[in-house]
Amino acid sequence: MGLLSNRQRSNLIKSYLYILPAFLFLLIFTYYPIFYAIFISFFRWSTDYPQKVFAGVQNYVEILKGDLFWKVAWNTLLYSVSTIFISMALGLFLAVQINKKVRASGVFKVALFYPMMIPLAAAALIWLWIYIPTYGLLDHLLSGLGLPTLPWLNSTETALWCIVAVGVWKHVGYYMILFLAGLYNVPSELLDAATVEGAGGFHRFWRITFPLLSSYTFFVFIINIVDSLQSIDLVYIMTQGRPADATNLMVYYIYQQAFRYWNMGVGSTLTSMLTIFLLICVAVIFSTIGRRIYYEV
Amino acid sequence: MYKKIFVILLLVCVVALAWTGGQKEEGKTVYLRMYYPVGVAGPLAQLMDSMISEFNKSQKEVYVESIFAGGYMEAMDKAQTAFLAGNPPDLTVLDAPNLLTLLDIGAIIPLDDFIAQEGGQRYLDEFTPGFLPIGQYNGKLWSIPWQRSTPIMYYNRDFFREVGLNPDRPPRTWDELADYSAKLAKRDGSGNVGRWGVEIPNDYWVIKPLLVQAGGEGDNEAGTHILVDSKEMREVYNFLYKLAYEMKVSPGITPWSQSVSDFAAGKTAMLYHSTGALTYIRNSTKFDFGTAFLPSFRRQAVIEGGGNFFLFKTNERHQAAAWKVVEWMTRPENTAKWSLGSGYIPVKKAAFDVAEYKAYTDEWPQALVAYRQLTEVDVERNMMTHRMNEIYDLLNVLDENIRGNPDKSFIDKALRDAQAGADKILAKWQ
Repeated sequence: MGLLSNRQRSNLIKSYLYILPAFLFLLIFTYYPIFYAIFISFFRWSTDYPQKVFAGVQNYVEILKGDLFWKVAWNTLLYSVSTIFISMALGLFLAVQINKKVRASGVFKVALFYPMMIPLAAAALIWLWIYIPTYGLLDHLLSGLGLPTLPWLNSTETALWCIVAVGVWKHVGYYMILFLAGLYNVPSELLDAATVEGAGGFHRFWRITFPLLSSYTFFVFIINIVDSLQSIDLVYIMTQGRPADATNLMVYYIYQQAFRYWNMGVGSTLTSMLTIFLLICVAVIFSTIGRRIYYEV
Repeated sequence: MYKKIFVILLLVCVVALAWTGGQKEEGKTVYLRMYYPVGVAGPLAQLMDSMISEFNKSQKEVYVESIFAGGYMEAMDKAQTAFLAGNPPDLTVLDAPNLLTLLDIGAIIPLDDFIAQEGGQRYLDEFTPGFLPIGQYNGKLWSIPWQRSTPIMYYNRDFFREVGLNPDRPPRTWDELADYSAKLAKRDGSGNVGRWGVEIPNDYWVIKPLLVQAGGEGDNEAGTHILVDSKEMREVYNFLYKLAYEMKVSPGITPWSQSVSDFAAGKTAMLYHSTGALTYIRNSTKFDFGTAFLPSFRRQAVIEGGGNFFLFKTNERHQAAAWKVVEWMTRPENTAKWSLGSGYIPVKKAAFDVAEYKAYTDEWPQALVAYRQLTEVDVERNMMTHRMNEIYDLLNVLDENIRGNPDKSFIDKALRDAQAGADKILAKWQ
């Protein structure tokens, strides 16, 4: 501290004071609950054990031994990987198309962004109606065309994919807008120069646009991972994990254990596992892909 | 300058918000919060809110805020979480079998003192028989019946006529149910289902009646054990398998709430559902429909169900005020009003003679089918165990697993696994 002048010192204190409110919020609503959940995960705490009883890693062992956990983990993985892949690919594709100075691109932008603005609960209810077997919109169209109808949400085989479709539909417009912002920053001189050199459309995209977009892609990727691994809202409103846990995703499973069954120990253990898994994911991604991202456009 | 104006405006907003939030009805001294679920289709939340506001106007002391809390499961989630977080609602309507869980977490109070005050046994005798037992435990009464029901069969009389069945003679046995379904189901040119014969939604509440009709037993009196892996349960699932996959006249998977829309849309000719959906179905269908007892098998039997009032541990003043609400809501004229708006069975005997209700049932005797079923066939208790929500989910997942699977040999394994799962959940209680 001796190295700092009074002025510097007061500036430093000021800076800390400015971040203090935000930090307090994080501390109370984010860090404290995480550590508390990890603490609780070592206890039995449920309607059977109204008083916490220390259980070591027993909760972890029991969860890993149960079939349902693996089913839910597999569902969550399927859901995340497919929504991330589809919504990023589709978002990027749409952004590139709209960026081609098409006529009425504003209309397309609004139309594609629109699902993002509909309250999720309302959207979920609309989709529930679309998915109703035999007389819902989808089956109505299919049978009108003389095609076989599907039971959509009422089948263990299709239910999860129905949720994926709604998730993609809801978010793809948002990712498209982010990509579009990135595309505006790709210098046209570079693309023009490439054209002069004789590069085709695919080459220009793959060698110039895509690498220059990498910081945007990376950002979309990270929020997508966090979003999809934590998604619960669609499942809660549309299926409650049904039928037969075919749409039970990790955060809904945590909700069930913690608040529906009041197995707080188990719920906290699952929360800790998810948090640690997410941290590891993000750390790995930052230290591998993150190092190769081009930031200065 | 603008900054200052902005800050001042913000402060005004905050103060205004705080003021409206904290504002209570003038002169009222006790402020209560009541959580309630809606378990069937229809605008019942509106009716509940209007009845509560009528209560608020009826006296000068208590103000009740009625808070819609979702379905039965969600309402229990909210009430339980609020209690354990130290901020319980004063009173709630919850699925009556949640009693043991509520006792296990120590959330509720017995009602015997209030009942004594109202006249003891004489007061209890005013209630419709069959609805009180599920509220009794350890010699005390813990809940008061409110929206009570039995599952009944709804059937489309127009469709009966269309295929040459007598609309005044609904199916009485499982065999007849299968025969009728075969006649009533329809497919279009490309083999897609146009209409199902019967829908029995995936909810243990309509599965247990089948089990008791087969002569089986589901859960024990103390709520410490459930029997899934039994001969009778196999019979139930073999029958449902036959309807869904051999005869193809019933869907394997139908969510509870969707089944009502299916019936109203004419996509199923018959439906197993709560009597609580009666008014909604009556108001939203244009066709001629009837209601009937559930078709029987070895025994002519059914179970009761529905939601009761529970009083949470708060303080004496609030508890006494909450009791006033319960007493008022279950008065004959009020329970009759609730039944008119929903289709639930009135919980007081005298309600059947309330002029408006009497006129309704005279004009349309179908409305009394659930009550007649309650009094004319064997009535078993709704399933009630410790760790109720967990067991209930397990049974529903089992049901969807079996009925969503076209492989019949799967039934045995699924029942065995579910039994093991249930035994593990209830291990501490056995």
